[in-house]
Amino acid sequence: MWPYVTQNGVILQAASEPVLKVRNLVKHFPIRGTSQVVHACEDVSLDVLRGETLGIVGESGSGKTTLGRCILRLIEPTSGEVIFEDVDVTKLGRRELRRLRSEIQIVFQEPLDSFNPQLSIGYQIAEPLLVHKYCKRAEARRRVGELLGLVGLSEDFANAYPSGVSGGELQRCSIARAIATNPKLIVLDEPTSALPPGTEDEVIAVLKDLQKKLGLSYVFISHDLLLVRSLCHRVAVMYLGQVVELGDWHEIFANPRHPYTHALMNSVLHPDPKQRRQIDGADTALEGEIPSPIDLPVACYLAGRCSHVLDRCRRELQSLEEIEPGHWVRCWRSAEGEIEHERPRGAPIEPRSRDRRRDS
Amino acid sequence: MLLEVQDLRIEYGTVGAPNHGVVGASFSVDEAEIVGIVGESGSGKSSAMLAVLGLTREGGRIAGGSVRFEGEELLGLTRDEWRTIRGSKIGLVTQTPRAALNPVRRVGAQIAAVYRSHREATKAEARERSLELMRLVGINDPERRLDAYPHELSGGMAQRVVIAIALSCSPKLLIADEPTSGLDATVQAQVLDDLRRVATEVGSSLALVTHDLGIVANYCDRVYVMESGEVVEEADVDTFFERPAHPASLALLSKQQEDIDEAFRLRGAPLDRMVLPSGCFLHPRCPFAEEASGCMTDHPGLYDVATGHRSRCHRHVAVRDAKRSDLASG
Repeated sequence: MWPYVTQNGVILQAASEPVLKVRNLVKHFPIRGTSQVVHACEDVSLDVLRGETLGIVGESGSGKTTLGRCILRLIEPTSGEVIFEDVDVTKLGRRELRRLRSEIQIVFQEPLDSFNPQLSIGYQIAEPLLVHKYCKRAEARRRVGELLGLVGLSEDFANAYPSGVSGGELQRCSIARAIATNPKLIVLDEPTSALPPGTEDEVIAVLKDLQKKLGLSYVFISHDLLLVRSLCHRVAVMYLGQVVELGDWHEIFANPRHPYTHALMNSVLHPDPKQRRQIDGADTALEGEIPSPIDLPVACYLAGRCSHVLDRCRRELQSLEEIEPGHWVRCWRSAEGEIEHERPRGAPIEPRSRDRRRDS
Repeated sequence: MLLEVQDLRIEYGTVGAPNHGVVGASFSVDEAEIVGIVGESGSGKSSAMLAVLGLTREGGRIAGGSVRFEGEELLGLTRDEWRTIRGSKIGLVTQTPRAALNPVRRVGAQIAAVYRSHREATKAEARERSLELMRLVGINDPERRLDAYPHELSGGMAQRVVIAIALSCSPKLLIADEPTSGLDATVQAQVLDDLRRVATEVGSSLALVTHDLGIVANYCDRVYVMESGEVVEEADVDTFFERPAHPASLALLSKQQEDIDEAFRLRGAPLDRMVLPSGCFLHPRCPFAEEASGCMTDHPGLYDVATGHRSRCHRHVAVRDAKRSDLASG
């Protein structure tokens, strides 16, 4: 049974209340010297449930990082609402915003850039504790040790400097810093893609473990679909600033309905020779590359690259339609059942089989 | 054999106390074959492949071994002799196209320059060849892109230009070092599809250096696994994924395949190769290492596991069966 009752991509009732609601979020970046704008986010609406990981996937330039930063107001949204626990983040004043930052945290892509090289790791993990008056200075030391323990590191790391530890370890330190003030929601902006290959699994294991222990909600931004598949409960697929498909991870991976999602899933290179891509090019359904986010197509953004395109696609702006309970697609042909997609290669057969295996 | 590398050794740093980048690596590439070279970062896979072109990273030197290409020994060639090999008979595609291309020259001119430096051709002929190559590697509207600067191209397009340059003289061998690691998923698949297609059309063999087993599974015929500067396993792709017989392979696979237990992963960080340990280089990190098999004392040679399948592990039988029993119980 599907746990959500939804309308227009927005959850009305769910097993748990959404911790974050994004409504019609728009972000335009003006281009200096012209009247043109870069359309980074176009009318994004989605919910993040308590204890859930919502994956945001898309190519570079699809607006996923902008969305993540707008949630924390690291970037001012052009219009729209970001509602965190009944408070509209976009209307907060400076002081209230500061308080909010102890509740929503972010982990950036490159840990070396998000740590000060001249301060010890322990000092930097303690900083949010002191800024938010979470505890006294004397107690902060103990709390830092506790936080490092939570991410699977020894207390000795508190005395180390960022240059002295490995990329994977430093990223775990930045996770420790993010959870210092007991936030409810963490935005993870490609937390593993700047790390040396092979160290990502230690970071992912820590994230899973913390979610279980602390009941955190994650917004997980990534272009690595295999990673999203192993971590996320629901997935939103973005293309040129729009959410084009939204649903349970299993539906998105096993039964993608938007032509863009379908192409994305088929571009995954599975580490299994039995699921090789077809050499005849049948798997590359999209033509060309992502268009410029300055001069957007007038109707469906994918019309120029889609093999299912009809006249109506070039005339009408597409809206996000619910085709099955909890599964939303921004494509009228899919919504009306006109497009039959083949199952993507390597599609998961049993929902959440991976998690069950790992948990047992 | 098109390329045969025997016992290649590469050292970095001081002569008296070198850091052993590559310690006796042997591998080969056959005609019209796609070979994958995999390994964790620092395993020496890029160093080994660059040495095929007579190149090393800063502070490195080729300390010994043999690189035979079309039956001819390459190590020891003079500068001028190397120039007839590099870019002409062996092409190179590097990881970052932005670093490989000259930012202030039009891409068409860059392709033509490489072509003219190896072949007798007029400017017009070279321009014609550039157009043909750009079309070949899947660049739309090549007439217009010919006069573009690298910054005007997307990452995928820039990498295609680098591939076009590498292919300009129809080399017999193309070395691609992590050719798509900076690209998006959909673009990565397109570029690799195009790379494989043109390599086949031109009749080049392809050596793909990567850490992504997805690329290996999808594009390669055979695979070499490198670890601590050595080739530790060689196998055809199906065998490698089904019956890996070296702990380093199992560790790589465990990161991407769900059916391998995490207990088979290697412990700790890669070896600092200033001082090589006795026995197997991997034994301090290996879950299979045991006294009785000599892992701590005897350095393993390459064992034949099956035809075309070799493993540098005293316990290769136990390793191979570990994956199998795990599959059976899962």
